[in-house]
Amino acid sequence: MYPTSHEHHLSLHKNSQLNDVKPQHKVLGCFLIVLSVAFSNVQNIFQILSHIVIVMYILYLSKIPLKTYLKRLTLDIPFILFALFLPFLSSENNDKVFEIFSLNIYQTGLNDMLTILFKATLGLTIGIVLTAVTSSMEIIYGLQKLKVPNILIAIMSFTIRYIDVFIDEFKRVRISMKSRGYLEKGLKSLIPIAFASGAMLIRGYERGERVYLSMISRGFQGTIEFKSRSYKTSYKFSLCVVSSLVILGIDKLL
Amino acid sequence: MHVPDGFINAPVSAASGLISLATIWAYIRNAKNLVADRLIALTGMMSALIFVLQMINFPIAAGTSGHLLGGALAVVVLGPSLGIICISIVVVIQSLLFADGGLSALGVNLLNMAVVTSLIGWITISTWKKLFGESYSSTISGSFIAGLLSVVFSSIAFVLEYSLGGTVAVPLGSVLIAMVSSHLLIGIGEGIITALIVSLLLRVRSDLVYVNKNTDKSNKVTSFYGLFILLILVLTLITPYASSSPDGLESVAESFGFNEDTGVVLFLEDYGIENINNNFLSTVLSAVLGIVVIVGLFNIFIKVKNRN
Repeated sequence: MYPTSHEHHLSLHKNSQLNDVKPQHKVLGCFLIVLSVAFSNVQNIFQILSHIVIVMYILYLSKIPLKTYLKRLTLDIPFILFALFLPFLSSENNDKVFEIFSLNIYQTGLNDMLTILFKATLGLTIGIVLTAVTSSMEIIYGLQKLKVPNILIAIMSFTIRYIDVFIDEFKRVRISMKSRGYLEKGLKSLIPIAFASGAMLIRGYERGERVYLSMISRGFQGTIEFKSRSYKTSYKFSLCVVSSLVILGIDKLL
Repeated sequence: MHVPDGFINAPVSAASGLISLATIWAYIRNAKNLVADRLIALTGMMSALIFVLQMINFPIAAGTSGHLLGGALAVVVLGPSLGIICISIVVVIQSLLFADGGLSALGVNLLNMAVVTSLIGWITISTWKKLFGESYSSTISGSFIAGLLSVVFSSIAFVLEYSLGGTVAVPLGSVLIAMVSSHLLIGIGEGIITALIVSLLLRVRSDLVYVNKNTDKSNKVTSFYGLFILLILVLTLITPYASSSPDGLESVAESFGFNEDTGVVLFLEDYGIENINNNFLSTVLSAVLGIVVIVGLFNIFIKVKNRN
């Protein structure tokens, strides 16, 4: 019952090509690839294989260690479990393929399982690559370049800054709760959690207010300017984006 | 609750993306008018806190655990326009920065977890306060109910999207029962946490709680929009049980040999709009249309009566 599921510092400091691509291009490109994967036709074997090749190539370009990648892929587990149940559940016109121990396995269910495994895993892979090669402040910088409204950018940067603070504080609060004999059982355990988080909100707000006032006194006017570093264009990444769009286009048009 | 890529098909993902983008854009424009400087800091804090709270899974019953969605909490503390912005930022950050929930399903996730939860939460808390007055206890009980209902209706919104564009062929009835029953339990947890946090805030810094203060004019539009969404979701819950077998009068008419064909051909033939293949969608649409017509006629009736 404590925050562990997300590691906060997800970006890896590797010198891959993708680290140097402009963040707005990275965000947009990843969106386009995921859209073309998600809207592709699963019955078409050529399309599946080419999408897998493209995504794996991007994964190779990003130089993420295999162990880290597999560790982050565990977010997918609930949906894989769900997908493994599908061959027994979903059926159309009772299209049985075969029977084990009086359990029926249906053709539609098998197709559905493959769809979910393929699309969810590839989508998550692209997400992992994006978060690994871009720091969170760079993603916000990219969003600002993509004309996301200023108020959202300001709130978002506040939020990202304070997630770390809250997680650290929550860990400390939990240790002190445990040392006073707190048990995590049943609905009753919600009460201390709720009061602790309420107290954290108040403390955090008062701290944020002070920080905000000092920001204003140093000339903050509602827009956040990020330091931009030198970026390069990666032809391989652009090629990947264009080719995955072309593959989707070929299937939709022909 | 985070829907991954490929769960909902392209048209429904695109449509829900458009709906949530339009909603968020409208609220950003609204918020620009009413943002006092420090509210930006409070909204950022609130997003960070809800993000952290969403990581904590609390056990509900044997084997299942749920986490907070936080829509009701955001709306009660920040008010409708900043609340929707706050909770959508949480969803966007989870999707872009933590790869939680698919990028192509971002619209679906925004609609379920940001727009529906906060609008339903706002409707509930504002109606509750109108019914039971402006007291401390009514605010707290109202935020409990708001938390509960927001989670339940969020799960119903998922069922609606699934029925329109689900890519897997699991029967709709079992999805509906599984989602709603498990989210009823999660909703109780959410309601308790929301009510407790609000009660603490009311006792310590009551100036931070939005519903405690006066309301703006623009909230009427929010309530109306929320009511519209509530209506659609409630109809989703009901329509699977709306039977298309003839009712008493129709069966009598048929047995006596006069058919409907001879009369005026109704637009809403057997509660389903023709030309729309999806049976479920057409039933929902026709139900919405029917209610709009009834409300319109009622309004005209009231106006005519007042004039006389």
